[in-house]
Amino acid sequence: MSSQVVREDSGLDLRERIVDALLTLTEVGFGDYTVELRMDFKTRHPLNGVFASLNEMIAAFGAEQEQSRAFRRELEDKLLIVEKQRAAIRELSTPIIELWEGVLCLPVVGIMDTARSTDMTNALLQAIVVKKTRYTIIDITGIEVMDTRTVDHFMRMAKSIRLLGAECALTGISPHIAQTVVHMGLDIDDIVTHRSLRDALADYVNRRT
Amino acid sequence: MSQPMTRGHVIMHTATFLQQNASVRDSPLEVESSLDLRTELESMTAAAFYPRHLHTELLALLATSRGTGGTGNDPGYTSILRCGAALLSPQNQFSVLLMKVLTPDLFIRKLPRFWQRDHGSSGRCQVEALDSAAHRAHVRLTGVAGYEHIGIFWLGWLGGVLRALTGSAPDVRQTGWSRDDSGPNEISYEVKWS
Repeated sequence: MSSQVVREDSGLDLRERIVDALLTLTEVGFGDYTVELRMDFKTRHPLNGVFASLNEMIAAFGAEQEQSRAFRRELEDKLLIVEKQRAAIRELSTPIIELWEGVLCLPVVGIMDTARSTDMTNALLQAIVVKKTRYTIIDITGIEVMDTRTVDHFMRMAKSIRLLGAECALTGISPHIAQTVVHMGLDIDDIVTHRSLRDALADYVNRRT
Repeated sequence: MSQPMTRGHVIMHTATFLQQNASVRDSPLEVESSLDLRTELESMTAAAFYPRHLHTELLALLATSRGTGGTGNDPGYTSILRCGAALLSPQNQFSVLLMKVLTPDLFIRKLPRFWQRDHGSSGRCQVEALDSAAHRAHVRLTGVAGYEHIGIFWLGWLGGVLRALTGSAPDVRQTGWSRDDSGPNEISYEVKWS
């Protein structure tokens, strides 16, 4: 009778220990790797070995999780740097130069896309207002490709400039781009063009004197 | 004194329950919840602890939302009960195993540990009396002032687990919570199971 009671007690104790362990393991299941299974050091219970192994595994998961967090932080820092660099490049890609009193020049180099065009227009319109500009020259000597969309960007830019009460001239159209524009039947009649930046500036000075 | 906390898995469960059960027209989580709650939910993890007020806000939304399964004279009350009972659904494989090993008696004895798992040291659960032979127990939650409707949420969970363990509906009655005082500091449960 008494041995049966002992066995039942042991069974109860074993079940309780397993319940305790599983409760802790549910926390591991949630992703909490800071927990530990409680071991009974007073007895040489076979579960101690199992729990010790599980604790090692939890600790390993914890270490991996910490490492993954560190990688993530590193990646986020790098993304922040990339974003800052991108902003700096954006700034550098729209240099607005004050050539003369009331005359601004925007040299465009590279490829125009919608985002860049929007940035350029914003920066240019802002500068026109701040510097009380009367004449704006957009120099496209550095433009490699001119298509309908690029022309459209410039048309919109010129219209916005005129709305602010300033004149707008387009300079530096290469023979290749001129041919393309004609070949594609693009209409740039609304934009005043000059062969070079120098010509545009000379025209402005002549008209002022 | 640090603010009371609740584990992410409890908050996430309640948010999911609300989202899945509230009527689309109401969509309380999108329309009525605070910016703080929505922001926290976006990056919430099951393991971490978050301020208790986030869960309180969700329970309050559940209590007032339509279509969350509430029935009878007090649909808000039954909605929270259902949400509490649904917390029983296995969150991971260990929860499944746990349910297989648990007995009603052991479950009642481990209630303080369950509370501590989900709420850390915020509030306390005590099993004041357990009569294993008569299948009765008296359980008390303390330190839950302002944790509105937790009394009902826990009632639902407690009843749900006992039902799953015994295969029959237990008799669980609470004292402390009422419509007029939905966030008392102390809630008691008289539990009977077969």
